[in-house]
Amino acid sequence: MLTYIARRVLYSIPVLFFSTFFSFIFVSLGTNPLVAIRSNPRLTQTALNLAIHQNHLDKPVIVRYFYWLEAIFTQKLGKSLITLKPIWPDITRTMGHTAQLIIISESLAIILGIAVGIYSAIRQYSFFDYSFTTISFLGFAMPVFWLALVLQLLFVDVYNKWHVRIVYTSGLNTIPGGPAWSIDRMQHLALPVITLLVVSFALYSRYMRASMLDVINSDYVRTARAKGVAERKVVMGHVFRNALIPITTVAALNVGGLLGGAIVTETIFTLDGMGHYFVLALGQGDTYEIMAYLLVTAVIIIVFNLIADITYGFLDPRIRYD
Amino acid sequence: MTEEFTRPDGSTGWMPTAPTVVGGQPLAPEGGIDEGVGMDAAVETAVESTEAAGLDLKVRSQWSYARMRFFRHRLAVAGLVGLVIIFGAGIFANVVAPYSYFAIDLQNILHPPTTIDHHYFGTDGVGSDEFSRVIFGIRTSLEVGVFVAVVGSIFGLIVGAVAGYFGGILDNLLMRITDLVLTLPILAILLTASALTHSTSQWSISIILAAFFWTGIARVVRGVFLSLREKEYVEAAKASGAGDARIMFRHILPNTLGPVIVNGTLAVGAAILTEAALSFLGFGIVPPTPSLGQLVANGQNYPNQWWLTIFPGLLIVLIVLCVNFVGDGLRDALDPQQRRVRA
Repeated sequence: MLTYIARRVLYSIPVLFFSTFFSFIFVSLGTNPLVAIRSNPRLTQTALNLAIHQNHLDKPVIVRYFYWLEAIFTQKLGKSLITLKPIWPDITRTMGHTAQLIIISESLAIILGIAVGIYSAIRQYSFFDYSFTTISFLGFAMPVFWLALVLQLLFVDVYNKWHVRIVYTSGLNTIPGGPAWSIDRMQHLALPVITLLVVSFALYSRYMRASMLDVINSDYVRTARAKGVAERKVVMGHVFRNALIPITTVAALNVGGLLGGAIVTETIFTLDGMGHYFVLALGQGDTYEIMAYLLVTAVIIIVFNLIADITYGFLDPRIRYD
Repeated sequence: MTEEFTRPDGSTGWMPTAPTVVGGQPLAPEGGIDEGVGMDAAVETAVESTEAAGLDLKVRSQWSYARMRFFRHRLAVAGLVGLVIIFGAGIFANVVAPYSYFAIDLQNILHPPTTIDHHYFGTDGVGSDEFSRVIFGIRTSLEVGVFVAVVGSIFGLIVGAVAGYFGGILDNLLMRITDLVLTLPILAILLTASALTHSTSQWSISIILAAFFWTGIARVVRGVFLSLREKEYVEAAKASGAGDARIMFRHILPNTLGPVIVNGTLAVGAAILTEAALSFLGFGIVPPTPSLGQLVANGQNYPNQWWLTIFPGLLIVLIVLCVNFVGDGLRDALDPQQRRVRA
């Protein structure tokens, strides 16, 4: 098991290397880090040359990649050449906000998805089952940005009509510190959380239903019933526990999709998260900020892929790592 | 199995040399369970002649079973009907739309939906008819979705076939590339690609999407090739002198068509959703080319005019919903294990 984990970790190093290498070359060729420096009207040729030299922009792209690699470790991702701000504080701050958003919505989605999945499977083809099948089909077909906008429209309308502040429709916080802060934060996070929740919920409830049905029809469940085990115990002890295994994998592999959903959601609700940061960086063509985002998300996705594989082995003893 | 097949009425069917279409070979050539398996769509004329001869032998090809199963799947048929209507409106946008996409009417700006003057979806900030804009947007979405699905499927098919059939280093290399594409944060990469190449036209966006939509199909096809290349019928083909290309494309490839068709159909919906997201964020198709995502983005500027946000988005939901229903129906219909006709 340990050797397996070690091998997987080692294996992800070349994956990270190649994906960042190609992204870096691509992003570097597509952006011009000198835009901000050049826009200074009092810029002299010597100052420009110095800036080019200091930032290694006179070197070939491939060499610049290794300078960037060095900056990741020695200077915490370096600084942006457009805003001239260090990247690390921005990334950690926005990552914290994105983590709040994703963790809350994912926890709710998993709990709700599992509950609805179980009930749909037990009462297959019931009214309940059909209604939630419809809802999840809608969830799959719904563009995230549209759902976010519809929620925003709805609550802007509620506020305009009755002047009741249920939730905020953009931004992050207006009140600093204290218990009022947490409530305020919840009001700001509510709509983004609901947006991300609907899409993930559709996924989890469908998977849970399918894997419950898989297990319900297996031989050992029939055996349990034949032995006279109480229905409740059959469902909770034999079916539920085994049906959970695929869900852990699905949830861990869903992280990439969630980060994508976060880009759209945060942009609409102008939430100060990683996705919003990335879209702003992309709009400005900020080479190093774009690369910082791509690197961080790639690491997150690889880590969660690893977690998916390892937990699967823990939960399903039939899986053998060699 | 791959040799000539003679029916009771003397008509010969299904020979390897018969000029059949790509989809002409059976989905499950190794499973000669009954007369049904081993026939194909191209010999349906022969099937009809069998019936005409008055024999009570009902010969059904794998494809006709699939068709039967598909049309018994009510949701799939509903999805198909919905798609025909929506995409039909998109294809014939010039005829269906009451106004042109650009028509500006400054006396009628931000008009709520009404049947007067055919402004069914209202008008936008410069008085353009939202209904017409949505209809033209459907056409763009349709073109992007179909292009991405077809190009992505063909590319994935080739990569998967080569990787699965030849194996070895080539397989390793191709699968590592697929892994790489799968580990990337896909929406972020697409946004980067489109922003940095300054892609604003429909076709450049389609090409970027297609460049990332082949991995799923490549994996599925590789799996089928891996398992089938060891089968006896492939060995037989090899023994009778068939080359690699012939074995790959005539003997193994048809078995992958089921999953490829299903994946390709679902890819249409996924591509339409992704294109809409890119255009919505401003890194996709830009005006004057209409696009549904772009229309929703435009609606965002008018928080008090709900119709500008709701209608284009609703059309995206409807299209993707119908595509997913059809894809699900195809999945059930094309599964060769599933002999049971769905009630």
